[in-house]
Amino acid sequence: MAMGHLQRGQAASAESRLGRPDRHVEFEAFVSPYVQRLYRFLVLRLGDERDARDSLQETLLAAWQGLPQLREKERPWSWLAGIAAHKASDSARRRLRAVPLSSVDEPYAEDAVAADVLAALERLPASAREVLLLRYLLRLSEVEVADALGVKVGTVKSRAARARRRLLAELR
Amino acid sequence: MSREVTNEVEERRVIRLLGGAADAVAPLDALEVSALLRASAAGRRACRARTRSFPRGTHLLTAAAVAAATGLAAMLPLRLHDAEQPSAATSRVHADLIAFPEGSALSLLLSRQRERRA
Repeated sequence: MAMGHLQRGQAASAESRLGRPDRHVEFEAFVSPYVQRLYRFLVLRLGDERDARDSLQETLLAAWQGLPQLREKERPWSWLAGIAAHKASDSARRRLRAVPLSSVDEPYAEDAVAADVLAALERLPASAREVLLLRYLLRLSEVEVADALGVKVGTVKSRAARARRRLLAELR
Repeated sequence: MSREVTNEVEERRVIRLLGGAADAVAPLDALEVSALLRASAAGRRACRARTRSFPRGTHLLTAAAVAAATGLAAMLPLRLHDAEQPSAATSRVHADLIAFPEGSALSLLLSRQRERRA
């Protein structure tokens, strides 16, 4: 762990000497441990790798712009996950306006169980899918999910319980 | 089973299922991650080499619109011409449709153009 920080610090100063601003290096070090998790969340949320890449890019752009105002820098995960959840919702809304989901999507997962889970997720309402993924895939606390979605903790609890049961019923 | 236990069992199952589904997603390669991060830090979008270059579904709509326009363009001169010379035009058109069902619109357009020039 300490070695990792040391290496990152050395890489950062080396890159700074090469002319990249410290803020860029700091941003990359801050965000890069979470990129793959965010990407997987977005693929499951949107059911499409290309849309997930687009939303990931938008998430990272927003993170770059918002990082100077972030107060709790020691808790980046829930902050990033909240941004990704918003960007995914925007993307899903845009897509609904363009064309129905099922008409052009190709299944991203060759794994049969994973494909079943994806199909079951797609049959859930967006709000249920969102709360399931934030709570049980990204492992945010109920309070963090409530913050990310702008709803009350009680709403998160009830939505999560309903969504869990519905997902399991879809997979039966 | 009590409600709490049931909830916990459900939660574990859902965590396992979603985790499995997430693991089946191929990770982004390191170069792509690096490009995304650098582009974000530069305040722009990364070059999307492996993504679509047009909005989803637009190509389908465009193809449908082109097909509809071609069909209309083919039908319009046909009807006008039918009114003037019913027997000759319809017999030839029907022959085209039977012989070239998929290319009939194009062949009709070309033949009408030739006729107009003549």
